[in-house]
Amino acid sequence: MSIALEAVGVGKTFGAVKALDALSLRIPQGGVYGILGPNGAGKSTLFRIVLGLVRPSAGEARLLGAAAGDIKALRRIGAVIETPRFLPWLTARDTLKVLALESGEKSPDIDGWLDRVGLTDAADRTVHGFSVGMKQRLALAAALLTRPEVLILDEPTSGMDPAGILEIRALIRDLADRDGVTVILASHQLDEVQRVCDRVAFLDKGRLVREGSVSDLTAVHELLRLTVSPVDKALAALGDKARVEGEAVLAAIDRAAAPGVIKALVKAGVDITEARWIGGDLETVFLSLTGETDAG
Amino acid sequence: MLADAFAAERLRLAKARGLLFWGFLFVPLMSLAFGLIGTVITVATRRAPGDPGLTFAANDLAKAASEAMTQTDLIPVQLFFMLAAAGLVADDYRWETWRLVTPRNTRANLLVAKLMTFGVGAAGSILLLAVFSMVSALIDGLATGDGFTSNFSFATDLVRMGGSFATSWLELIAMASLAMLLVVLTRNAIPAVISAIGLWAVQLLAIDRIAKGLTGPPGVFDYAFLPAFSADVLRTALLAGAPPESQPAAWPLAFLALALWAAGLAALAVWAFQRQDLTRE
Repeated sequence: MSIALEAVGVGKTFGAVKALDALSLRIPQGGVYGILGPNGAGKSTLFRIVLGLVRPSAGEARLLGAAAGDIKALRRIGAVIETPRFLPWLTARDTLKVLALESGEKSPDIDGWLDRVGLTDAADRTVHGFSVGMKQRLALAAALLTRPEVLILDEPTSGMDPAGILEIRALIRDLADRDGVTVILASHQLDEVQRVCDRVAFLDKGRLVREGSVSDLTAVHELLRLTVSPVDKALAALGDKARVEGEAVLAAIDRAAAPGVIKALVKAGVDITEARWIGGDLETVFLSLTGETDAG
Repeated sequence: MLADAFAAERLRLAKARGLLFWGFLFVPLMSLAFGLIGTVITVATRRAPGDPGLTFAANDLAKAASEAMTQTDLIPVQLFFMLAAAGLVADDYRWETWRLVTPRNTRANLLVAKLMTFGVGAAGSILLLAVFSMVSALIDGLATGDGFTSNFSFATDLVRMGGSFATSWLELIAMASLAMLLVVLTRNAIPAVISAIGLWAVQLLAIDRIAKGLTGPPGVFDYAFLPAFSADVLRTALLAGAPPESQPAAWPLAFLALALWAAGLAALAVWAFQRQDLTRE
């Protein structure tokens, strides 16, 4: 399995602040990989180290098998780091032309990428007048200009309207599925990450807290919420897997066991008026994990 | 890869009209304007030829060009060039665009490309100074009736013009390298420009003291310590009528000293930039 990004014991300290604390992480090539964490978790710092913008205080980071900051590896990736910033007097088209020249890209499809991110109409306007969402789109076009193998995105939909968010989400998934690009994205939008990502890593206080596929991580925290009567019979039938919350009973069971559990409840004389799955989302996972690290 | 960065920087400068104008075009245009204003004043105020005690010389176009190209040793002129040099680097800090470009090319290439772009701009500006001075001298000669000479001596005039160009250009490159180093260290254009101009101005004061104290040819220490002195020695070697105390004895050494200063400061700027953490540019 090829590795897109690897961090081995990476630490970074800015003065008294420890941004990364012996972080070790391996992100395979292929698919969409999410990196989640609260503000200050170290997501942007990790990206900056990998891109050679800052040097780690400890450990080693590698990108496509090469040391972090290796220009040959960097030319095979595209990146959008934090808030996109551009020279305001350049038009969108000129910005991409300059960046294509810097990259040594001989035949950049500037118009094509501007079209794909929805900036054709604004191509010849100076960036000075761009909204935050437009700058995000231009940053994405700049990152894709060299047809990268790996795309690193730091909050790619920040500042965008709902329609724009849907477009970018679809583009990310399209890049991974159709073009074979490995997408590594950091986001606070947990719902977006759950919809787009195949695997995720949770960072907190500069450390890796949990890593795994989205489906595996969310399944652990899924609960079956049952509106039942009488409640005491239901609790007796479910045993220690269930608890009462308000007017409902919450059962910690997996989906495969659900049909059997429901049949057992009916057989025990319990009336079931509603049954639905809750909590199988990254938000629940995120809160439980960051709560664990606070306590631990 | 350096060629890629150089091409990108040239495009950036072509689109940065403010920097292009104030950094490289303003000085030649002002030089032309002052020349024309001088001609107008001369025509308006001069007494008629033939008045006792007055002689008028024809305008020597080649000499005018050589002398115009040495105007880069004037501090007000150097200020505009340093604004250009500092701006080329400082803009990426100000607008936080290093994060966009440093993953695309090596830091050394990016900074050297900026210096090369400055070099191209400075060369063009110095050549414009020469051309405009010849235009100004031509117009002056015609307007005042003094006439002008166009007897071009390959041995004398071409060497003088070429030498003036090379000296001024090399001195500006050395100053630009210093300005770029200071921008990298401070991440800001203004302190860099003020410091660069200040350091060069201090040298001009020291030059005067050293020249007066010399009993023989300038020594290696004199050249190494003061790059502005090296440039001054070279200019004196090229232009006629220099004061006796500035008679140069070792202009190749002065040229080498200036070139080493330029290369050394540029190397230091690249070294500092390569080690810099670009968190908040």
